[in-house]
Amino acid sequence: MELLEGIQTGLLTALSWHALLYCFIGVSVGTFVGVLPGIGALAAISLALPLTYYLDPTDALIMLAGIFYGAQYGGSTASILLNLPGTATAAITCLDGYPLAQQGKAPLAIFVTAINSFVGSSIAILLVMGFAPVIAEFALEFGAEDYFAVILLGLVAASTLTIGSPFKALSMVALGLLLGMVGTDVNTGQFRFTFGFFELADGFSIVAVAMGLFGVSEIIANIGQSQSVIQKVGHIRFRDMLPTRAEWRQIIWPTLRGSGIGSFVGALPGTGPGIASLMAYATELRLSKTPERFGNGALEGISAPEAANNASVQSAFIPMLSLGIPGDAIVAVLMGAMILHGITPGPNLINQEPQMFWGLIMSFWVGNLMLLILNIPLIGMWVKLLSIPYHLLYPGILVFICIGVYSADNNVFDIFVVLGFGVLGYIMRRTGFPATPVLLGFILGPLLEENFRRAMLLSKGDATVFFTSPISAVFMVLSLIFISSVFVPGLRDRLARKRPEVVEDPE
Amino acid sequence: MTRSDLFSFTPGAVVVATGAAAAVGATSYPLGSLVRPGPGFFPLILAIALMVMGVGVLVETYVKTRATTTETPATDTRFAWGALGCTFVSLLVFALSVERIGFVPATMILIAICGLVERGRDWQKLVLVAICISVLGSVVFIWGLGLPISAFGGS
Repeated sequence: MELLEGIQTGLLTALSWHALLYCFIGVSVGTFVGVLPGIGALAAISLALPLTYYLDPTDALIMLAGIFYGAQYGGSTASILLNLPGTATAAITCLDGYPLAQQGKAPLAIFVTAINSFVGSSIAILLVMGFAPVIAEFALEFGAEDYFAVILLGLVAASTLTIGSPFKALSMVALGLLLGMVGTDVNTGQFRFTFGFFELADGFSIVAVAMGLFGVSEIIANIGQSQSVIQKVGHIRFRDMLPTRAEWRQIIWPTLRGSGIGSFVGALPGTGPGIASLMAYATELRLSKTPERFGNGALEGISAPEAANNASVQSAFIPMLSLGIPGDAIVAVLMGAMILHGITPGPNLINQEPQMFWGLIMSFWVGNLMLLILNIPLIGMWVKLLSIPYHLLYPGILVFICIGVYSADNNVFDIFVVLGFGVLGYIMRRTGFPATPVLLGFILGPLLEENFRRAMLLSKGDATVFFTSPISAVFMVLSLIFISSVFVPGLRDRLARKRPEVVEDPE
Repeated sequence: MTRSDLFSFTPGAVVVATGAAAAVGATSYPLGSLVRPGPGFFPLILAIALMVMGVGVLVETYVKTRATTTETPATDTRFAWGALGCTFVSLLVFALSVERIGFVPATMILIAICGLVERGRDWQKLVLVAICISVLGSVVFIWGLGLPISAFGGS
């Protein structure tokens, strides 16, 4: 049994003392940044990335992934208590979580979201264990043109399935891909778009681009806003947390449905937890016999989206671990981290690095159990954190961004890069251009070009190869459908209306 | 068409201009052939895609302004020039000074600049923050990771 063997290898790795330690650090940092509005998981991961250069790659990945899914747990806390989403994906939780808190049911809401997060994650981890190896085996057959097509599909899906203007998102993909071209061309040694800067010979540093677009720009946006100070949350007692029997019955199906939707959406390349929780909420709203309760503190309204966003975060590892294609910006940075450690994510990973592959997956179980403890008995500690005023917090974050990005390459130039991308990110934010596609494009750009060139070389310059190879053709057609949906507004609406129904089948 | 209407076209125009600039840049590298695409080939395709999408953004803006001619676009929040300027200057000064005067003084300057801009500033607490960050940063990055900068003074 390959699966059992894998589980055994994974457990041995994930239960070593150093893996446990880094997993704990990861999920704690994740909860920390998730709880605090104004610092996202992406900024935290890019900040921690240079620190992991000195670690064993598996430990590094376990820690960084822990930050990612840990933040999803923490994100709901601020939504419920302050009506401020700790992470962008927790925005949906505000809708019913905050009314619950106003009714004095904050402890119950926090307990329910933690349990739902755990269930959602668990279901998705089972799917990762089941599907990632199978898809990886299938993907071993992929040729360069198939890779090109699947990367393209990921990029197109990521930008057309967002809320907001698809043109803006698509133009940001193109910009990101162009940014990925900066530096030395691997095939010819030609310097491209370096503007005479020697520091750009290796291209922009991933850490600097991610921290600028997501860290600095977020800080700029948050400084300007008046801070709502936490008045009084009250003491959160364990006794108040436990749902009654009727409440358990109320949340069980929404949780399972949310997990199913989240796992499915997360596994698609290019769609993140934001869309997953939105779709889960919409589905519950439609299925509910009493939709008027939604928005006034319906438990289903927090359990389904919370299960969905956690599930999507875990299942986002399916395309990353099996195909080497990140589902969203955070997974893209994790992939960047693997590449920096000299490991190429892709179908060969499971055979070449079984200890890393299974160790990471098993660490998800360990991390989620830790998160359950961190978020139920120890929730009071995190709630206190919310009382730190932002104007004392952000100068420290800025210092750590600077020194963190400097430490990646011991180069002051990268601080200027952060600065530039921070300003760009803020302007983009204000003008409605999404930053996620830029980062996805930036990280996938070199891969896309490499596979394009290889496909061209192998097919002797025949561009139709993308449509004559069967695997590639499927992906190309899907991409074309997404793109045409942008130009034909009616089709887009119809797709958008249909989508929740398509995934309703509980898995 | 009013001035604010014209202003709303700026983002799309900037995208098109960026694409055009990238296209010019790309054509200065060898384009190669379809069999062996050169270093300029792929960037050129991307630059053209960027321009096309920029035109898409422009068209979209045009349709939107046509639809809402009577109403002035409501700007809910102002552009945070203060925050932008503060962050810009503080990071710039940090980048220029950290290798010359050391990590701790550069940190102090960065935090002081942030403090100057904040309205409800609390210098006492800010000093406390600065000391904590300096100590933590020095321990983790200089002592722990061995970065080639010193806590005080040039390196």
